Amino acid sequence: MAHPFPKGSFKISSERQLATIRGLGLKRIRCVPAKSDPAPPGEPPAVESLAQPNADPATMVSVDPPTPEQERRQRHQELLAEQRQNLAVCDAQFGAAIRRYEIVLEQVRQQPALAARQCSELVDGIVADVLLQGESSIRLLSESMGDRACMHPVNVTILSLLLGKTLGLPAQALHDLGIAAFLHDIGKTQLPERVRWMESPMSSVDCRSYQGHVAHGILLAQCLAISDDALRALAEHHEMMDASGFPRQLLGASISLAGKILALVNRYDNLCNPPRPSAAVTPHEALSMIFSQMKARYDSVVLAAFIRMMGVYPPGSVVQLSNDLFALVVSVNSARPLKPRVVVHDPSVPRDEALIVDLEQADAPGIRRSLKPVALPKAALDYLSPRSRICYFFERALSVTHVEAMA
Amino acid sequence: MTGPSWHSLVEALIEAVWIVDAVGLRIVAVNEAAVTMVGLRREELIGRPAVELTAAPEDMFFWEDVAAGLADHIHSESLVRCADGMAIPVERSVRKLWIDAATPGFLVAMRDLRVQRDNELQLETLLAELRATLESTADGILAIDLQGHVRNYNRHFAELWEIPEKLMVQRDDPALLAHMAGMVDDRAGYEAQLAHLAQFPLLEATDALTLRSGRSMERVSLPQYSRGQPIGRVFAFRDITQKRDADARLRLAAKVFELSLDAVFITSADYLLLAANPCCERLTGMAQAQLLGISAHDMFHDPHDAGLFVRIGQHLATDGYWEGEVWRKGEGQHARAMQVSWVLLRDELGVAVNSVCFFKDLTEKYAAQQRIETLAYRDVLTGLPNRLLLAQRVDFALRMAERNGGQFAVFFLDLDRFKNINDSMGHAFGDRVLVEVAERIKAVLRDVDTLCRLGGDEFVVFLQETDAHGAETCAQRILQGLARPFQIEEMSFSVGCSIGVALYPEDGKTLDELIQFADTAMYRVKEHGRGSFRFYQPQMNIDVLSRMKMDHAMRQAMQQQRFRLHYQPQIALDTGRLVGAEALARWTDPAMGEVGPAVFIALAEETGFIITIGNWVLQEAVRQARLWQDAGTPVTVSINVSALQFQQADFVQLIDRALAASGLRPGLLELELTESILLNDAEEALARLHALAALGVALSIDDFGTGYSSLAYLKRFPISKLKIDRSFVMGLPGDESDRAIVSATIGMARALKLSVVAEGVETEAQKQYLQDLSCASFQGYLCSPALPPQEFEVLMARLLLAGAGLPH
Repeated sequence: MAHPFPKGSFKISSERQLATIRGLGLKRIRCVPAKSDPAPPGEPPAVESLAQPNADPATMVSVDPPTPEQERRQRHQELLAEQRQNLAVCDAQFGAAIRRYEIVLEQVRQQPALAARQCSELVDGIVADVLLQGESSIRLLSESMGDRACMHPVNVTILSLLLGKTLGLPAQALHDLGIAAFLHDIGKTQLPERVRWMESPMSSVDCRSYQGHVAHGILLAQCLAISDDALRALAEHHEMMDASGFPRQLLGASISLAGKILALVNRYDNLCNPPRPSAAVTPHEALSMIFSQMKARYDSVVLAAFIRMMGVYPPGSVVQLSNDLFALVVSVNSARPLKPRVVVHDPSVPRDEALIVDLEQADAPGIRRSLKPVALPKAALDYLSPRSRICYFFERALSVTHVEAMA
Repeated sequence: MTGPSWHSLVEALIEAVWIVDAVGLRIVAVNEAAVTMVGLRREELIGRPAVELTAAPEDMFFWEDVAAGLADHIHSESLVRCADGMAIPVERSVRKLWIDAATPGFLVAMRDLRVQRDNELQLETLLAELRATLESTADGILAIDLQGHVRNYNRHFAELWEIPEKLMVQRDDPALLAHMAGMVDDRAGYEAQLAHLAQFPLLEATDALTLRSGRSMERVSLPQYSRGQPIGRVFAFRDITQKRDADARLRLAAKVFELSLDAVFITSADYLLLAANPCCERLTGMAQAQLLGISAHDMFHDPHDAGLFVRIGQHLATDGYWEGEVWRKGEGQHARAMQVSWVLLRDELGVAVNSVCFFKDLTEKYAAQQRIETLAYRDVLTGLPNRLLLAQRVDFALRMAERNGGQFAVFFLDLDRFKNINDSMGHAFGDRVLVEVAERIKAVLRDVDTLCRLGGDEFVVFLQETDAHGAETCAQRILQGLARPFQIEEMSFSVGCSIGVALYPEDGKTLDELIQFADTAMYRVKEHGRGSFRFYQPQMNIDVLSRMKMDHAMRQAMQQQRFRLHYQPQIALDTGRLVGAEALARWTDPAMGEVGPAVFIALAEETGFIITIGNWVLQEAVRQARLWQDAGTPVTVSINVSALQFQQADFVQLIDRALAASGLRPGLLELELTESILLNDAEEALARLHALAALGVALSIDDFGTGYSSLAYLKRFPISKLKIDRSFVMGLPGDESDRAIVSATIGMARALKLSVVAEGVETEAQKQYLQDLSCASFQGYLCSPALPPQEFEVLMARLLLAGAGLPH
C-alpha cells in the first residue's frame, strides 16, 4: 500500500492528515480509540468521520422512502462520486510514481540497490492498486493527454501492466514487465538533450545517437540488477514485428511478449504525448493511426488486446456524438468497442446529475469523432472533465496544478 | 433499385461510394470518386472485403457487428487505406440498402477530410501561435466585450494584478473587476475612466495607474474590432515602476551632468566623444556640436609624455580609472593645466562600453600655487631660494644620488664682520650689500647650483655633482668674486666671507648634516682668521650620534657629574722631575662609553657649551690643585681655555673668584691659550692677559705654531710658556722641517725668556732630541697618559722616589 506517511500505523493529529487519508480512497481503516487522546467535550470523536470518509449518501438515513426517481438520481450521483474518487486516487499515485522515477534517476549510479528497490516497490504498488481501477487509470491518462509528457515512463508502466494483465501474464512476468517499462527510457539520461527525442527530421548521426539510448539503458539497468526477462523487454522496446526496429532488427518471433507490449504502449504514449504538445493526437487517433498504418510492426494479438482494452474511444476521450452533443467516454464496453458509456454534455442537466448514456441502447446516438480536450467549448469541458481549470486564460485547458508547476 | 439508374446516380455523387454486398461484405460496385480516392483501379476494388480498405478499428468492429447482426449503420470519421498504404482521413457513412429487390447491401459513402484536416490543423496551429503570442507578450493583456464581461487575459496579466487563484478558476467578472479597482490607488478616478471608456467604445487611451503597493502601471486601451465592428476592448498593462524610477534617476543624473562645476564628457569604448556638459563647452571653448565625435585623445596632451594616452588607456583597462594633471591647448587659448579623473564603464559582462572624463582648469590653482610658492620658497630680500626650497632640491638630489651614486657639495657661507656694516651704515644699507653679495655669488655659480639665503648674512650654496676639487674651485671663485671692492652709495668697501664646505656622501647623508658640518667647517675658518674656506674634516665629525643627541647627552653628563679631570704630567727634561700637570676633561657616557675630547670639545665649542665645561674644569682643577697644595705636594695645574670662554666679559673675575674661593696659590694655576685668542682682538686680549697675569696665574700658548702667530704679540703678552704642538714633535727626529721648526721655536722661546713644553712625546728618541735642543720639559705617553687624580698621586710619589729616573 503506497501512502505518504512514514509508517502504516500512527496517530492522526491534523486535518491535513485526515484529508490525505481520504484522498487515498481507502475502503477500510482500522482505528484504535483506546490509543487516541481524550476528545474535547462537545466534539464528536474524529474516528466517526473517518470510518465513512466520503459521507457516502447510501449510508445516510432517509426518513421517507425514496421515490424511484430519487433512487435513480442517488445511484447516479454515487456512481459519479465513486468515479471521481477513483480518479483522485489514480492522480495521487501518478504523482507519487513520478517522484519515484525522479529519485531513481538520481540514485541509479550512486545507490543502485536503493534505486532498484524503489522501482520494485513502485511496480508492486501499481500492480496492487492501480490495476484495480484500470478504467480510471486509462481515463486519467487519456484526459490529460498532451500535458503529461514528463510522465512518459509512468504512463507506459501503467498501460503496459494493464495490457499485460489483460493478456494474462503471471504475477512474476507482470512484475518484470513493469520494471522494464519503468526503466525503458532511462538510457536517455546519457544522451545529449538534442537527441533525446526522436523528431523528424533528424540527421543519421543524430539518429544513431538517439538509438543508442537502448544500449545505455541496458547498461544502467544492469547496475540495478533487474531480472533477465525485464532486461530483455527493455532491450526490445524498439524492436518491431517486421524487423524494422532497432537496435537488433529482430523479427517478431524473436521478440518476447513483454517486449512486444512495451513496443506498442511506448509508441502509443509517444503519439499521445509527443515532445511538442501541439503535435499530440487524441488517444482515439493514436489507436487509429497505429491500427491503420503500423499494423505490421506490432503483434496482432497484442494490438487487438490493446484496442479491446482501451476501446476504440478510450475512457477519457472527448467525443462528438452523431446528435452533435459533446461527451466524455467514461467506460469501455469491450463487447461493443464502438458503443462505450459516455457522459453527455447537456446544458439543461446540472453537472452533478449528468447523464451517463450507454451508447449500446437502441436509440442512442453514435460517435461521430474524437476531439482534443482543448478543442472543446469551455462550458462543455468544465462540465465533462471537472478538474480545476484556469477559466480566463487564452490557453484555457490549463489546470491549476499545471500552472503552479510551471510557476 | 434498378441497375442502370442507381449506377448512374452513384456515379454522379461527389463523395466516394462503395456498394458492399451484405452477405460477403465485399465491394460490388464503386464510383469514380472512390477510384480516385483510393488509387486502385475499379476492377481491383471490386470483390475486395470492405474491411480490408477501411483502416480504422471502428470499421473493423463495425463490420464485425454487421456480421453479427448487431449494427447496420455508422456515421463517423474514419480512415481509408489507399493503394500506397497511406491512410486518408474521411467522414464515412454506412447505410443499409437493397441492391435489388432480393439483394441487401450497404452503401459506404466517404468524404475526403484531408483538406478540411489540413485547414483545421493550420487553424489550430495559428490559434496556438496566437495564444502563445498573447502569453509571451511582455504586456499583461485583458480582453473584455462591449458589455464589460471579461473574455480573456494572459498569465502576465494575472501576475501583474496578483489575481487570486480563486478568481482564476471560477468565473466571477464583478469580483475580478472589483479586485482590480481595489488595487488602484485612485479608485474613483480609475472607475470613472473605465466608465468613460465603456461609453465610447472607439476611444483609444494610454494612461498611467499607480497601485496602492506603490508600483506604477501603464495602461494602453484599444478598441477591438472584428469584421469592422467594435466587439470589445483590449487593455495592455505594463509595469513601469522600474522605468519610472529609472526615469527619475536619469533626470537627476542629467541634472547633475548639466550643472556639474566639473567639465564632463562621455565617450564610446573607442574614446569618441558622445556627450559633453555645458561646463565642458565653457572650458574648452567649443560648442557641443564641435565636441561630439572627436577623439578624447585630442582633448589633452602632456608636453613631457608623448605616450600619455597609451598610459591612460592602460590604466583605464587595468584599474578602471585614471587621475592626473595634463595640459589642454584650445583654439586661440594658452595651454592650460587640467586636473583629470577618468573612469571606464563596463557592462554586466565586463566589456568596456563607455568612459566618463571629469576635468577642471588648474590655471588659477597653479597661479595661486606659484604665488604661495614664491612666498614659501623664496627669500623676500634677495629672491633667492630659502631653506625650504633648498631642502626640496637637495632632497631630490639626495634621492637621485642614493640611486645612481653621485656627489655634491654644500657650502656654508658667512660674511665676515657684516655686523659692523649693519651697525655703522644701517640695515637698509646692509640689505643692499646682501643683495649685491647674492648677485656676485650667483654670478660665479652654474645654473644647476642653488644659492640660498638662510637669513642674516648666512648663505648656503648647493653644488650639484661636484667633488672636492670642484668645490674648492667654486669656493675660490666665490672668494674672488667678493674680494672686489663694493661700491654702494659712493662708498667703497670690501666684504670678506668665510666658507665651510661639506661633501656628500663623505661628510653627511642629509641636508641638515651637511649644512651643520659646513657650518662647523665655516666656524673653523672664522677661528682661523676668516676670509677663507675650509673642508669639513673627520675630526669635526661625530660619527656615532647626531650632534643634537650628543649635545643633549653632554648637558646631561654635566648635570649628572659624569665629567672628570685627568692629569698628564709635564716632566723636566734635564732632571726628570714633575714640573706640572695638564688637566684634561674626560667624559664616559653610559651608552656611548668613553667619548673623546676631540669630539665633545669641538661640539661644545660650536654650541657654546664649552663655557660651562670650561667653568667646571676651572673649579675642579683649582679644587684638586688645592688638595695637592694642602697635601704638601703642590703641582702647577694647567687648564685649556677656549676662545669663547676667554672672551666672556667676566672671565678674569671668574678666575679670581675661583682662586679666592679655593685658597690655591695663583702660581699653581696655569691657563693654556690658543694663538687665535690672541689674534682675535689683540688689544682687548692684551688687557685681559695683563689682568690675569696680575692675579698671579701662569699663562701659556697652546699648540704653538699651528696658527698665525705674531711674534710681535708674543713679545708684548705676559706669557711664560710655549707648548710645541704634537704635530711637530711627531716628526722628530727624522723630519727635517719639524726639526727646524722645533729648534727655531725653542731658540726663540729661549730668547724671549719663555719656557717650552713639548707635547706628545712618545719615544725615547724624541725625548733625547728635545733634550739635546735644551727643551725645558715635555709631556706625552713616554712618561704617562693623563691619569685620574689617585693614579696621578701614585705617579707623583714614584717620580719623587725615583728622583731623576723615568718610569717605564
